[in-house]
Amino acid sequence: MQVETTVQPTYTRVRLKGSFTYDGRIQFKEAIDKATQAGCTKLIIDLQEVSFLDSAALGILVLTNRKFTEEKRQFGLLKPTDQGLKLLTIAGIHKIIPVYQSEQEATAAHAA
Amino acid sequence: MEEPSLEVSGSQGDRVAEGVPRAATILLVDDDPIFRLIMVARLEKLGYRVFQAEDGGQGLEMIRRLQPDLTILDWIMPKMDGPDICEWVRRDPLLKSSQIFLMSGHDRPEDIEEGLNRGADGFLSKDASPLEITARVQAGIRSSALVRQLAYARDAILAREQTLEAELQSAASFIESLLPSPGVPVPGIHLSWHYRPSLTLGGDLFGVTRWGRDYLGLFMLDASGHGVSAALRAASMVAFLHPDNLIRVSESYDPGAILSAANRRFPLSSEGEYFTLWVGALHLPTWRLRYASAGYAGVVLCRPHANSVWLEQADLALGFDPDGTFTTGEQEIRLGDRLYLSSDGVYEALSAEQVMWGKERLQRVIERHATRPVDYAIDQCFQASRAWQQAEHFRDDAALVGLERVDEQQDGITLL
Repeated sequence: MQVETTVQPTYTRVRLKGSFTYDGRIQFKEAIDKATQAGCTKLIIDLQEVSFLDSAALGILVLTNRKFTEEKRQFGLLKPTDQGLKLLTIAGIHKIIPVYQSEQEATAAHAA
Repeated sequence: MEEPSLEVSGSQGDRVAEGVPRAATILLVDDDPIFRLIMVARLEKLGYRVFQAEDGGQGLEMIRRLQPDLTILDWIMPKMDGPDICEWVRRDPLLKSSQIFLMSGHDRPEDIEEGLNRGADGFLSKDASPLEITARVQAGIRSSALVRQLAYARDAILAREQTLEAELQSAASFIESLLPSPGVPVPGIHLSWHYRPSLTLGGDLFGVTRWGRDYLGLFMLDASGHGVSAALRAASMVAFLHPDNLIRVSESYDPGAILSAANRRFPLSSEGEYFTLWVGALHLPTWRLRYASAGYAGVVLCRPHANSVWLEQADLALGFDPDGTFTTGEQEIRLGDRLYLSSDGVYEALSAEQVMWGKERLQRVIERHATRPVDYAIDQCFQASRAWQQAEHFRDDAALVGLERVDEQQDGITLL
C-alpha cells in the first residue's frame, strides 16, 4: 500500500493506493501520527485508489475515527470504490464515519 | 607408506558454540609427501590443526568424517583428482558448504576457471610465495567461519520454524475440534459444511449446538485479521457462546441480547480488532428461528417455493459502538428450507479485475442446486468462487455451513 499525505486548504488528506489490509496498518498509523503531530484537526482518508479493503482495515478506520472523535477532531472517508463502499455499508461503518463522494462534499463538510 | 590423517597441531577444544573456530582445521590432500611436509609445517606455524590425506579417495573420506574448516586439494592425483572431489562434495548436502581450495603447479586462467566451475572456492598456486599462500589460507578460513555461522543460523531458524509449525498444527487441531460434526445435530436438521482457513489457523468459526432442551443454537463469527491472534480471539468468542455462559451473561437465548452482551464483553481492541457475528436460536418445538447480526451479512434462507431471504440486520460489528444494541429478527423454518451461513471469504473473492464475486452470485449457485444435497451445493459454491478468483487458495478464511430442515421420519430412515 502506498500512502501520501497532502495538506488541503480545509483539511489534511491521506491518500491510500493499493490494498489496505492488516499489513498496511503500520504505514497507516504512521501517516495518522505524523498528521496529528503537524496539528491536523480535520482528516480525510482518500480511498478512491484502494483496490481492496479487508476487515482488519475497517477496524483500523473505526479505531482512528474513535480517537479523532474523542479529541473533538474531524475524520472522514473520501470516495471508496464499489467494493470498499459495499464493505463499509455491510459493516455499518457509514453510520459512524462520514463518507464523502466528492472532494467538494468533503471540503464543504470540513469548512464548517 | 606414510600413515595419513595425522593431527599435527592445535588445541583439543576446537569450537565455540557459535561455530567460530578457535583452532581451525585444515585438510591437506596431496599425493606428494614432500610438498605435504612443507605445507604442514607452514600451516602449523599459523596455529591450525592440520590433517593429511595422500590421495583423492582418502581425502573425500576424511572430508566427510572431519568436516574441516578448509580443504586444500592438489589438482592432479591418482584415482580421483581435485576437481572430481570438489564435484562430489558439492553434491553432498552435508558437505556442500565446505570451503575448498584447489592447488596446482599451473595457474593458467582456464585452469582456474575450470576449478571454480567444478566447485572450488579458491585457487592456490604451488609456486605462490609463502606470504600469498598464508594470506589466501587465512581468507579461506574466514570465509569458512562465516559460512558455518550462516549454516548454524539457518539450522536454528529451521528448527524454530519446525517448532512453531508443530505448535500451529496443534492449535489448528484444537480450533477444528471446536467445529460441529456434520450430520444430524437434532432430529429434523441435516448439517453440512466446508471450511478452508487462509492460513494454518483461521479467525472464522461457526457453531451448531443444543442450547438447553428447546433450542438449536447457531452462530458464525469472523474475528478480524488472520492467523494466531484472530484464531485465539475466535476461540475466546466460542467459549463466550457456550450455552451455560449465555444464560449467565444474557439471561436468555435471545440473539439480540446475546450480541448486546458480546458487544460489552468484546470491545474494539487497541489494534482495531473486532468481531462480526451472526447468532440464531432455532426454537425446535415451533421451528421458529430468531436471529441477530453484528455486521455479519452472509446468512441466507432458501426456500423451495419462495424467494430466498438474507437474514441480516443493519447493526454494527461488535465493539464499533460501546453502547450498541442489537435487534432480533424472526423467520419460520419450514420443511425443505435451507439455511446457509457463509463467511465473507467465500463471496468476497476477487476476480483478476478486482471485481467481487458477491452475495448475488453465491445465492444463484445455491438456488441452482436447491434440489441436490446440501453438501453438493456447498461444494459447487466453493468451486464457483475459486473459478471466479482463478485461484485455489482463498485470501481470507472461507467457510460455508448449510442446514436443511428435513422430515424427522425421513431423517430416521436416512440414518438407517
